[in-house]
This record gives sequence, C-alpha cells and structure tokens, in this order.
Amino acid sequence: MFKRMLVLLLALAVALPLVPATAQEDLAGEITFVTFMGEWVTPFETAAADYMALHPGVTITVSTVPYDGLQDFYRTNLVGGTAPEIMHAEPWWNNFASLELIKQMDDVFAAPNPYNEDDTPWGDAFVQPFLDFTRDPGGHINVVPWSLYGVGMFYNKTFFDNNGITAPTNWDEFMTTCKAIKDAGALPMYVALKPNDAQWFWPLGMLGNFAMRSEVEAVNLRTAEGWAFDVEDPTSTLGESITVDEAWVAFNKGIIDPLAAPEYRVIAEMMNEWAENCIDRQAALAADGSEVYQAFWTGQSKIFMNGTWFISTLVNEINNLPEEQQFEWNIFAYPSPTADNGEMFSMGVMNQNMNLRNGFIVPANLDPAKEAIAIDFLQFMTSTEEASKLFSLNRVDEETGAEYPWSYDPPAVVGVPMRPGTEALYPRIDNAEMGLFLTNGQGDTQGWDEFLNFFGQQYLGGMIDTDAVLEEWSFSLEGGLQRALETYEEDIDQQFLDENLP
Amino acid sequence: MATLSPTVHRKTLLRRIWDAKLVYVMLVPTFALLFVFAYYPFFNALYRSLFNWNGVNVEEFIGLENFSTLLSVQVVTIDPQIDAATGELLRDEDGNLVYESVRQFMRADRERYEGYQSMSSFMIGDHQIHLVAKDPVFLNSFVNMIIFVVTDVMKATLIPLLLANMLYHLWSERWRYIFRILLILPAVVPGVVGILLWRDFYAMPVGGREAGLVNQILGLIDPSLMHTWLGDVNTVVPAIIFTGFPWVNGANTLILLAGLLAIPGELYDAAKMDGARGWTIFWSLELPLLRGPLRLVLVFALIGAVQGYGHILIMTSGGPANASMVPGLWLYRNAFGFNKYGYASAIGVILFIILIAFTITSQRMLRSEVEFEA
Repeated sequence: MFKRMLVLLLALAVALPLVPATAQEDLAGEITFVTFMGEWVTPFETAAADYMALHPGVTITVSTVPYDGLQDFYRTNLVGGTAPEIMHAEPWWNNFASLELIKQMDDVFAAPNPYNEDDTPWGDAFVQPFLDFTRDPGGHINVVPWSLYGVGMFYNKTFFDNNGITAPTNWDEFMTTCKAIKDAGALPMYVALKPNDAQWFWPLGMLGNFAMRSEVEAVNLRTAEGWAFDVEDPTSTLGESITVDEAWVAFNKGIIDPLAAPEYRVIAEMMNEWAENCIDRQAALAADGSEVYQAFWTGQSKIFMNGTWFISTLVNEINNLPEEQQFEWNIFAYPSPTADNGEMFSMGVMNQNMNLRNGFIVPANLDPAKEAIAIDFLQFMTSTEEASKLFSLNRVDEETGAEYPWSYDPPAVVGVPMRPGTEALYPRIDNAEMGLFLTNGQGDTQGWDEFLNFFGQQYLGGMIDTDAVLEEWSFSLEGGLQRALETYEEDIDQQFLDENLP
Repeated sequence: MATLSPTVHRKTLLRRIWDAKLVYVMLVPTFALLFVFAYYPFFNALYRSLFNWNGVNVEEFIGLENFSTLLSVQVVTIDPQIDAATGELLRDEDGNLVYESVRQFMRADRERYEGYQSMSSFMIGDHQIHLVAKDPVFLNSFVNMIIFVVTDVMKATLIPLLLANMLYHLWSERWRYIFRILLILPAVVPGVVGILLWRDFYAMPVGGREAGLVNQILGLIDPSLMHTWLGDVNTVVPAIIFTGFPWVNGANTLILLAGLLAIPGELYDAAKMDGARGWTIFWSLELPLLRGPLRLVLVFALIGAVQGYGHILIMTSGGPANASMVPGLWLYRNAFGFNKYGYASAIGVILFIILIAFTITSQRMLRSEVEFEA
C-alpha cells in the first residue's frame, strides 16, 4: 500500500510541472509589474485592476522605478534573481538577451492569445515590421511590445513665419533652412554630442539604411528559399534580420566596411555638413542631453528632433511660459536626401525614424507559476479590447478641468487607434529596408562607446576629417563584429562563414 | 640553596582575550560587516581580474591577460612613402610627405598589432612615431589621473594650510569661531549641486542663453577670451581642475587648525626668544609639527583623486573624445557599460596597487617623530 502511494506521489510530482499552467481560471499568486514611465502608471494600474477582477486569486503590484540607472537596476536584479516578474523596458533589452537573463518570447508568440477572439498567433497582434525589428542577432524575440514612437522635427513656427522661413522637404532645403536661421541670428538646433541626445545618431541610421538598400540581397544571405527584397513592399523583409555572421561576411567583402563602401563616406560627409550648418559644434561638445529639450521650448533653438513622447511636455511647458514668450510649433518630417545627393538615394524614399518605443520583458528561469501569470497578464493587456481602453485613458487637469491624454504614444498593438491630432507621427514604413548600416558591432556597447567618441565627438565636433573618421569606424566596427561573433557563437553558421568569407 | 623569586602571573593570550570578551564581541559586527562589504569584494575583485567575466554567464580563466591588455604599449615607426616610379619621396599637393595611416600599417601586420589602437604620435625627423596601445583610453586616463592627483593634493593641502594659519593667528577668539563656522557651512550643500553649478559657470552664450559666470567675467575683460571650456579637448582638464575655485576645504582647514592649536605655547616662546619670526616660525616650527594632520589630509586627498570620478561623470562624462577620462570612470564604463566585469576588476586592482604605493610613500615622506594631541 505504502509503495503504491509512493509511486502515485512520484508520478504526480513528475506530471504536475507538465500540466499547462496557462489555464486562466487556475491562476493564483502574486507578481510585481515595474514601469519607469510615470504617464503610464494609471493605465497600468487600471489594467491590473481589470485583470485581478477576472482572476481573484492573482495579485499584481504596479510599482515605478526612476529612469536614471534603470538598466543597472534591472541587470542587478536579474543577475541576483530578484527581478520583478514584468519589467517595462526600452530597446536595450537585447543587452540582457545576450546574457540569457530574459525569457525568449518566440514560443508564446506562436500560440494564440486567449483574450482575443481569433485564433491567430499572439505575435500577429503586434504592428509589423516593428516586431521583427526587435529580433536579437540570433533572430529571437525577447519582448512583448507595448508602444511605438514616431520621430519628427519640431520647429518654432512663429520664428519661421516671422523670418519668412518655410519647413524644408528635402536635404538641400534643410541645409538652406539652417543657414537662414543662422542668418537671422538664431541657433538652428541645440544638440549634445553625447549618448543621451539622439539628434545626432538617429539620422545616421535613417540616412544609412536608405543608402544601403541596393545591398540588402548581397548581405542577407542566410535567408528563406526564394526570398527576394522588394523595396516597394515594406513587408518583404518580415522574418528577415541581419545576423552576425552575415554582417561579418559583408564587412569582409567591403559592403559594410566604412573604408571601402562609398555609402559610409557620403553619409559621414552629409552629417558633417549638418554639423556645420545646423549646430554649434563647440557648444554641442560641452552640452548634456538633459539640456536640449528646454533649449527648444525656451526658444534657444528653433528646430528640435524628437518624438511623440515629447508632445505632452512641450504643450505643458509652452503653456507655462510668459505669454510674450509663447510660440506656435509644428512638426516636419526629417528631410530626405534625393538622387541629387547621390545615386544611392534613388531607391524609394527615406523611411522616417519610427520604431518600437518600449515593451515588457520577463526574467528567464522564473518560477513557472509566476511566469504563467506574467505571460497571461501580458496577453490580457495586449488584447485589442484592453489595449484600446488603456491607450484612450485621459488625465484631468485639476486646475482647469481639461482632459489630456496620459500618453501620445502610438500603440504597438494592431487595431488600437492613435490619438487624434498625432496621425502625422503615426509609425509607418514607406519602403522595405534592413538594418545594414552599422555604427558599431551588433548590440555591442563597447563599439557604440567608441563610435560616440570618434564620430559623435571627434568628427561632428570638428576635430578630425572624413578620412580619419572612416578609418576609425572601420577598425571599430571590425572589433565590434568580432566581439559579437563570440557573444552569439551558438547562432553562428560556421559552414556559411567558410563558404562566403572572401 | 633555594632562591626566592617573585611569582610573576603572566596571563596567556587566550586568557587575556577571555577577560576582554565583551569588547571582542562588540567588535565582531563591525569586522563582520567590514569583511563582507570591504574585504570580500576586494579579494573577489582580485580573483575576478584573472577572468574574462561578463558578470553573468561567461567566466573564462585568462590569467594575467586583462592586465596585459591594460598595460600593453608598442612604438610604431612609419617612414614616408616612396614613389615607386621615381624612387623619390612621395609628396601631396601641398608638398607634404605622404605617410601610410597607422591603422593600415597595423592591419598589414595583424599578428603583431592585433588589438592595438593609436594612442599618440609625434615626429622625429621624417619619421612618424606612434605610440599604440591595446587600451589607449586607460593609459590616457592614467595620465589624467596623475594630473588630478597632483592638483587635488595641492588644493587639499596648500589652501587649507594657508587658511588654518590665518585663522590660528587671528587675534579675536570670536572672529576665529565665526570663520570656523563659515568654513564648514558649505559642507552641508550636496557636492553634486556645486558640480552642476560649475558646469553652468563654464557655459557659452548659445541661442539667446546667457553665458556662464566664468565666461561672463572673461567677456567683460575681452569677449575673445570666452570659450567652451568643457567642450575643448585642450581645456577640459584645466577647467575641471579649476572647478571649485578658490578650493576652500572646510574640513581640511579645521583638521590643520586643530593641529596648530595642539602646538604648546612654550615652543612659540622659545622660538621667539631665538629670534624666529613669521615665516621662520611657520617653516621651522609649525610645519614640522603639522606632519600628522597633513598626512591625514594628504592620504584622503590621494584616495579621492585616484578613485574619484563622480564630478567628471557629471561634468563631461569623460569627454569630449575621452579627453577627461580617469581610470575610475573607465572602470565603471567597462563594468556597467560593456559588461566587462573581469576587465574592470583588473583596473580596480591596478588602482589599489597605486593607492597603496602612494599612501606608503606619503607616510614615509611625512613621518614625524613628535606629535601633539589636539
């Protein structure tokens, strides 16, 4: 009898973990949900309350952490095994993925979301191609997307109108506009050549990937049978990503080597032209990224490259200015180069900087019961119905009683509407392209630091010339790719390397 | 004949410990915490410095390779290029000699120069001499550290010494008290506030924003003297050194003042009877007797200058172009930026060795046989 009981207990012990823990009515336990974005706290608390009403056995605590030092906070807790079950994060999450600290979402995205009515895979519920853009160099997805962003050029319309300046529509007009602003005695753009101001490195990716479109098929060699790149069809790159071994082959063939590829020289020279006309190089070397927002709304600079998240701050700050200092603002798209700037800019139009802004990550090796709750809650939050509700919530100004959106972020969930009035920044990809234009090794922080130094500070700061920056870039990129080859060793196809390396 | 000798009750070490057991028990928490939070991390860092360790899932023993990478330097000599057709030296449009770039030169001999980067260069005759290193940022940061050590030690000792002496010789006891309070008051303001203020002091007038205090003063003298002090590789280090001018360090001043107050008045009387006055009293009497407090102030300043990087992180992040990088900040960047925890540990070990060397040297230099208690 005792033996039978023992066998039964053992069998139960073995079988229990195999029972899917996603049966929603069985869920019970406590998890912590951490966000760094104050404007999203109320919507997330609403989601938690809605979920707990559906699942009385579950308790979700929503807490906030400051943005400063956020990566270190997450990393420390992930390493120490004390990380919250759901962490709101930005696209640096792949730094954690390379350390195997966060859960890969590929499997759960392949299954349906039980909170949606259709039976399509959960992964199909997110706006493409932005979901694919999150793939790590090994091709895995490690995040549940939440919001997108659109970046544009905010400009001081009052100043433009008073000085007869019109918003530029292409690169050459952009340079003319900057000169006109300088001639009027003002500073076109206040920029910090530091990692915490993206105004100098966002355009690099946009211009570079536009210029490199003709090389996509020559680089993306590890691809599905019969795949072809179609620049007119943005979806033609879905499921494709440039892996480390492909990048290494392309580098050694000179396709993405800044010393050998003509596109890199053209882009470097364009950015140098921008630095000459649109910014104050010396001030940009001394400035900090924390100063650039204020510089725009206080009128120090007349153009500011920023994203959808800036709108609510800008509205508030301009309203707080003395009436005589308030100004009207508007947004123009980042001016695209044309074929006049180089043959490489003849395939379609330049895509604007629009991408995934943030999402949720779950620690790897989490307790299965807690992981089940975390995944189920994220499925609930990103269901079309709940996400639509959360993205439409408003806050009420206590003084005026007026209602303002909690966030202007465009949703990353398919079928959730944008905020009225922000459609100009709705993330869209006009043409297909892939992230060929590498500033550093893929996901390589050391390479990025080097790039910041020689390109951002030395070159755009006016200390070195184009030849020198291309040489530095080439060597830095080579080193970064070599480090990436070691990091992603398991995903490397050695046979591919042997067959394709020159 | 038996000899009577006094019975000496010598207590054994264990017995003495047992007698003072309460004292030792009270000390245990302190030493336990010291061990956990100070000694364990240090010995762990020493151990980790021998690994390629990313802090999580990569941990490979590599011996002294981290140290070798940090300290490897080579000299590269590049001769001017020769025109293959004429056999003469190749010149560019401006008539200057043409040289192969150091990057290309090293790429041609990958085996020898694997991992090396250019650090600095100069000319000897027609030859270009390049110093190349595996981690030029660390070595340059080391040079900056030495500059900061020298200047920080001077700021931490000379000005407080001068102030302490002036205070000591103040006739009015009341005013001496008031000045002591005034000196220590700024210490209650968080240091980061002062650093942020100084960052603004160096600001240039841009887009309608007013110049910072430093540039405003310089602009009154001559507008051409205004400069982006923190944005220029040639001025960023002097600008950081100048930060906090006139470098009044209240705590150090009070330590030295306490040292002066501890000198017995009889010594002053004796010196005066021997004809000593002002400078002679300071040089021959006060300074030798201040060696103890000076040693303390000096060691704190040394430790601060070697390990400190917070003010540089806030003011320049080590830039522009790593011109104001210091080893502490480079350690931080390698650990928390690049996930190179093993490498960062090796930097920490080097800093520790330097600190020990500096401390021992300064202790020997300022060894005093006579000290008075305040």
